Amino acid sequence: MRTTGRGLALLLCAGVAVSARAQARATSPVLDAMRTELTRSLGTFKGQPTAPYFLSYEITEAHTVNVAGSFGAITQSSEHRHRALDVDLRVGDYRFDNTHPLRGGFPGRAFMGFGEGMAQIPVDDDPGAIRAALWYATDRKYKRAVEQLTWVKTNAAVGVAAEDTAPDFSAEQRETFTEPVARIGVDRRVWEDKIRRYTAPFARYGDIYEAEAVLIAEVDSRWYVNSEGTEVQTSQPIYRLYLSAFSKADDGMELPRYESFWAFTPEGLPSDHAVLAAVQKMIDDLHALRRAPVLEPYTGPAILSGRASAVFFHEVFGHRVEGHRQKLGLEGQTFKKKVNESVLPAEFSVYFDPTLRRLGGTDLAGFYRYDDEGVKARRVAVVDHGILKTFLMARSPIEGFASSNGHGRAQLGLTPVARQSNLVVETAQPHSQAELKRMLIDEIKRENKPYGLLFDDIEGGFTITMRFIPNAFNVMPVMVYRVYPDGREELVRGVDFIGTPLTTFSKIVAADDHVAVFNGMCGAESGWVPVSAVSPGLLVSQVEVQKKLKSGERPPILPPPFGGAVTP
Amino acid sequence: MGAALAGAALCVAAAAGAQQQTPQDPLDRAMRDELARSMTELRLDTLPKPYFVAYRIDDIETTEAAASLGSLLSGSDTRTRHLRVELRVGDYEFDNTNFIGMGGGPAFSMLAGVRGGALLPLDDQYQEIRRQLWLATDGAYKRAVEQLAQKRAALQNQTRAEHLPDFAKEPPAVLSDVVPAPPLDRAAAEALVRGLSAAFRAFPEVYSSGVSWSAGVVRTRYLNSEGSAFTRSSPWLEVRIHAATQAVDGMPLGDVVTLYGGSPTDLPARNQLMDSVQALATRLTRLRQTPVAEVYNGPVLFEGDAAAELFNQVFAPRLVAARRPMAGNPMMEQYAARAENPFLDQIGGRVLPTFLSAVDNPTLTSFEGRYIGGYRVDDDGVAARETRLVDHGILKTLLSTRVPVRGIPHSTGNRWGAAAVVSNLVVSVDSGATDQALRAELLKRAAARGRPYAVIVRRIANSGALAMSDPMEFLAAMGDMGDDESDGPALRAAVAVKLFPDGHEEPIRNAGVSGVTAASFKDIVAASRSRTVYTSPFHGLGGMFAGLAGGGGLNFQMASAGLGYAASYVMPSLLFEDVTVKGPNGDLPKPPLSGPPWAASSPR
Repeated sequence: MRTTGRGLALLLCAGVAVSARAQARATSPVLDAMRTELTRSLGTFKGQPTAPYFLSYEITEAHTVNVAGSFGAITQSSEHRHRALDVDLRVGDYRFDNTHPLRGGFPGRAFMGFGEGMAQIPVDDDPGAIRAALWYATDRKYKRAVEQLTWVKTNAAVGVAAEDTAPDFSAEQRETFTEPVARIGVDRRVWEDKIRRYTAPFARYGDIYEAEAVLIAEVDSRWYVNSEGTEVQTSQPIYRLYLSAFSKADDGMELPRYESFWAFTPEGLPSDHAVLAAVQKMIDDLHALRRAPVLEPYTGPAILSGRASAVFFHEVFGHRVEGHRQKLGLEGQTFKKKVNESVLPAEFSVYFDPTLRRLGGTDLAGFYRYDDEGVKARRVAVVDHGILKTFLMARSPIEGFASSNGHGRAQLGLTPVARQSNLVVETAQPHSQAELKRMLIDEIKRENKPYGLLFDDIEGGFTITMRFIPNAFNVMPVMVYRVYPDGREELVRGVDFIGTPLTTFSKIVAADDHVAVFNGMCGAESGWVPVSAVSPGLLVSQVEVQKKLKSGERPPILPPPFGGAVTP
Repeated sequence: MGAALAGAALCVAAAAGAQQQTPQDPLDRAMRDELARSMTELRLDTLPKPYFVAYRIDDIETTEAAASLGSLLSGSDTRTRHLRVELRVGDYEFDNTNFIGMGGGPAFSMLAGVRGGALLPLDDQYQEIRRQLWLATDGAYKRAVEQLAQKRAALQNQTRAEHLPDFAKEPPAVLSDVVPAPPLDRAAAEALVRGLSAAFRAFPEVYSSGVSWSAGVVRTRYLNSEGSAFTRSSPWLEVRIHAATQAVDGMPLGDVVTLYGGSPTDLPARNQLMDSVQALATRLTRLRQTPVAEVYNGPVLFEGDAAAELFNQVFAPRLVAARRPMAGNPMMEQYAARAENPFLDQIGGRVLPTFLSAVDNPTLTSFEGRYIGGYRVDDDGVAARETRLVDHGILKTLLSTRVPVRGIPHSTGNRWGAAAVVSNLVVSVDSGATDQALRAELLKRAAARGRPYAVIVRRIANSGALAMSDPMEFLAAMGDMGDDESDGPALRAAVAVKLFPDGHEEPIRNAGVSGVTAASFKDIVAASRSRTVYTSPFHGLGGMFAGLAGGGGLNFQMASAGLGYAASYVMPSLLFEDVTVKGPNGDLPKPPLSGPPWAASSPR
């Protein structure tokens, strides 16, 4: 036994030495291990009756520092590092393979085998241990793929002709790219102190029931290898600071307020002074919201600020131009038959550009160099002067669009689908903000409305693109103002901005010259991915708002125990 | 186990037990001040004031590390502080608890998150602790008054079969149960799991393997409106070695060995741990070639660890009292009925053979030099003590909390989390047999039944522990849940052998054990003189309902469950007369098409 122990120690030392040398050579031990196992796996399967025509591995590492605080005190402070694997193994051919969509029957069947290609990967750059995990996951994935191919062949044979006859997988160019693995550039102690200071101002108030600041510093590193010869290693640090607080009106309505900051470097985050100013603004807004009247359901003209428009476009438009949604039978496919038709006024263009790292002094969250299928990122002009031109494509082709345009994205360990990157809305005819407000007032008068609306800030939204639920969107505004014909603005509370996409699009009238950026995390079937949306403010001739879901819970019975101030 | 205490001082009422509960401690001060205010001032319009409020703050520090084949998979250390509020309105006879209503509390409330509990600041700031206490108490109160109203309304349509108080009165106590917790050394943990897991590289026929380490300490402060208070530290350490493969016929094979302690000093030496890894890997490698278990009906000897796990899964859950809650609707009523423990009606009856007795004793810290965890004060603030559960075969009582059940009006001091649990269960044997005599008895009985061999089960898998280690095992464990042949859980024998009359043994693979129910324990035919010490995750009956129907809200239960709970057993080997042992049915996955990559590349 003692002998074995010593033998093991030697083995470990050898492992460390090898990886140190490998780094000095500036190659990638992770890519090397992946390539070696990929080659070996293909060799193994070659002798089988159903051999794979495509195999890829993506290993994603998240190295995260998380510091959270509330009312001037730390609630959590931690650091984590882990790696996950996604295996894409395909049998059949590019035209028809095991991933072919199943039609009819129980939709859950499509999810069978979910997780087969997932595995936890060692964080040490140890080729043997990495390959062991790849091997076991690949074997499971292969067996499942062979089984799936039988199902989908039968399913396709018994069903009616598919609406979309595009192949199942696109052939793509071979890519090679390696950038060094980045380090996390924050000191947890320093940030614990910052988080305390950022949340301390909220502590003076007894009518703010939750007040939180969270720093998430993360290095997202990805290694991708496929059987077509592509090898990519990317590593991107992301620094995010979130502030959130909520109060309650006396009628029980919950009033939230959010702020978020996003940067690729620690220096890119705002100064303490700027954060504290944002905190003070949140406090003032919450107190103003408590006093604000409740807006009744309303239909009429409105201005969406740049940030509000950005979220609006992300939800209402962006999700509907994700390529794979034009293919799946259950999807609404709002825009599928609208290519080369007008979908927006002629002065508007919309493009997605993951290669855009920064815009007007703000880092863009949807920046990346290669997507999660090893395809090089590129700018995609989706709407050109009002005309719909194309869709966001991963490697799942649709009729008329045979290739990926570098938008196959996924959260760590999940299977990529077409997702948004940096959405940019442009107008050829910008108006000044004052002009846009004048146009709103003209519209109010023309429609004989008592007031119009100004959506200044929003917390996010959601959208439904499936056929079996009405195709709608819901954008949750936080700061909404009534704009009266005399130009006066009045803060109101308690509404959601709702509608159906095509109708709302047809009501867009004009844009201003005040371009704003909204950075955030977008959730869909391939998990959470960072995205950005950029838009000028928009004038919409008709919007619809509904009452917000409201809690019946009254504010606390007893006053705050520490004599904290309740709204003046 | 759940909590380890080496040489903790037990101080009843006053004394220096207030080690952490000095008036200077901001947490303690915040708890006392807000509790006093809530008891006197918290009241909504004409609705009743609370008659009982308890605060519990758990400060949890954890270090975790996991590795596979010598490489680190993950490592982390975290610290969080949780508040739980238990608030009751009404009175001891009839209050808002032991009732499953329509959920209680307004829907879509952002305060819902803090109702019944909250994440507290790690900084000892009086005002901020107090703010969270204030908001959590407010949420708990609003929920409690609503529950009480719902319960009263439901009662208008129901006749209560039995009148039991909702909450038992217990004498207030001030207790301290604090041990110096060893520092959590993540680097040492990472080095250990790397080193141990690397040993699997020598075993190419073990397809998936790993070693994980979880250690930590929960520091609890408790205060209630009856004057009870305690401080308690509960350190734990768990090292888990898991391995999985497929037999030559493709059948999945897996096993987990878990070692428990309160601190690293409770663990076996490193070379012994390495022996465990080697033994596990060697056993699995050999088992691959072993024929699958054939159907066997007859006497089975469960040796120490297997007997303890059998007890843990089949018999021990019946030793815990759970109140059947009142339900607001018929569907919930049916679910609630399941919470009732059939042993409640067997108190005074025989449940074990007359040569076996069982006591539960949370205050034990070791047995014959081997670690077992324990605690001196339970989660109701009741002092822990020994409870005689089974006396020469006769069931005397069940383990309980302050929620009375039929025939058990008071707490035995066994509340952990939301419900009562087994802590350290010691089974004693009158005139037990030597191990040799027991084997002889087994063979004799097998021969009498015309069996060419007898079966010995050495270890039974805890499917919960298996599931945590491997996603494939998780699926297998899901399959284990339904066993239509008996009312007991399906049990997987991790280690089992055939014993032949000439004394030689042959291993059995993928053996499932069925036909053992709680009722079969009274028919145990013999037990050994020697006893093993064994610890394993424990799942009691009715824990879910205790969480739903208790005064603390669901958070109380979830947060407690998050850490898991293990019970310890001091257990003889047990000989059963009639047990079924057989292999699984169904299709088998194919073995991998190629060997593992390290088999070729490993420098060994």
